[in-house]
Amino acid sequence: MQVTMRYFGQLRHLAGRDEDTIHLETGVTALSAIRAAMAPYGEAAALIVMDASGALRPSLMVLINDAPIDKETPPTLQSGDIITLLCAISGG
Amino acid sequence: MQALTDEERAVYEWQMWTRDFGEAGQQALKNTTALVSRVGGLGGPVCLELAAAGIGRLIIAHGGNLKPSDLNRQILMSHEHLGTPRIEQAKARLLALNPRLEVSAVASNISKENVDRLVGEAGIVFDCAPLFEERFLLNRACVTQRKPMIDCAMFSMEGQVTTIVPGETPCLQCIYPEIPPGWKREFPVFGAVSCAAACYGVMEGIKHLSGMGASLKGQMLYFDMRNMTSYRLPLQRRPDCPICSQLWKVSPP
Ligand SMILES: [Zn+2]
Repeated sequence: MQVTMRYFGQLRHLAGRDEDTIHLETGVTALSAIRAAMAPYGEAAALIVMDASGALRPSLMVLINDAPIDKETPPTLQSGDIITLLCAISGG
Repeated sequence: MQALTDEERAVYEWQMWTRDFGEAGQQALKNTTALVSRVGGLGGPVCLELAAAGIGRLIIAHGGNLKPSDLNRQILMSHEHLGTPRIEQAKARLLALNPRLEVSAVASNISKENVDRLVGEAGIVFDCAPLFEERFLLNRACVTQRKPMIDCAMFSMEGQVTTIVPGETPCLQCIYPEIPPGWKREFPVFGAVSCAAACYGVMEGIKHLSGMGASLKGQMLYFDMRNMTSYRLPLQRRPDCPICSQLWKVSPP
C-alpha cells in the first residue's frame, strides 16, 4: 500500500521537501511508517521524531488524515492515508 | 476603568465599528497591560499592532543590540541603529505610533529572576521568545498566576498560534513537554511569516480581552505559507503535566 508523509518545521527543512510517498506492506502501524520515512534523512531527523527507545517524541504532533493520533498507541494505516508530522517551533 | 478620550474615539473609530467590539472593547484594551517577551520578528509586530489597536500599557523585555541579520523581520528596528539596544528602538517606535501608550522597557530577556514580577504586572502575556527555556518560564508563571498567554511561533514559511488560559486549556508544556531535541537557535524565516503569526496572535489577544469572536482556546492554528494551507488542531491537556495538572484538580475541565 501507499501512504503520504507530510513534513513541517525542522523536519521539512531537513528533508528538503514537503512530503514523501512511502510504499509499505499492508497492516503497518504509523510508527513503522514514520521510521521508514525518516530512514533517508539520517540521525538529525530521527532525533526529532523518536526518543532513544524508538518511541515517538512527546514534542512531535502526528496527524492521520488531519486528525491527531494517540502516539502511545499508533494506529494501523490504510492505503492512501496522509500522515502529517508537526515539529515544535518557537519565536525570535 | 478609565473611559475613552475624544482623541481615542477619533483614532480607534474604524475598529470600534467592528461587530461585537465597539467602545466597550476599546475600553478593555485601554485598561489592559500586556507583557510581550522580546521585540524581534514575532514580538515586534505583536507590539506594533497592540500599540496601533490602543492597548493601554506594554511591558517589553528584550536584551542585546541590533544585528544585521535581525533586519529582515524585526520591524520595530531601523538600519541606522545597528549595534544599539533593540529595546530602546522598540520603545521609541511604539511611542511614535501611539504617544498615549505607556511602555515599560526591560533591557533583558525573560528570566527566572524577573518572570514572576513581570507576569504579575500584566493582564495578558504574548510569548514570542526564541528559546524554549524562556517560553517554559513564561508558561509556568502564567499558569501559577492564572494569566492568559497567547503563544506565537514561526519557522521558515510556517507559523502557529494558540491561546492558553490556565485552568481552561492545556498549557504550553502539555503541548511540548520537553525542549525539542535538535532544535536550533537560528533557523530560516521570512519577516512576512513571523509578522503573520504575530498578527494572528494579536487578534487572539484582542478577542480574549473584548470577548468577541471564537478563540483558539484549546486549539492550535498551524499555517503553511509555502502551500497556503492551514490546520486547526485540537490540543489535549496532559493529566501528568508538571506545570498545570494541579489546576485541574482544583477545577476539573
Ligand atoms: Zn500543562
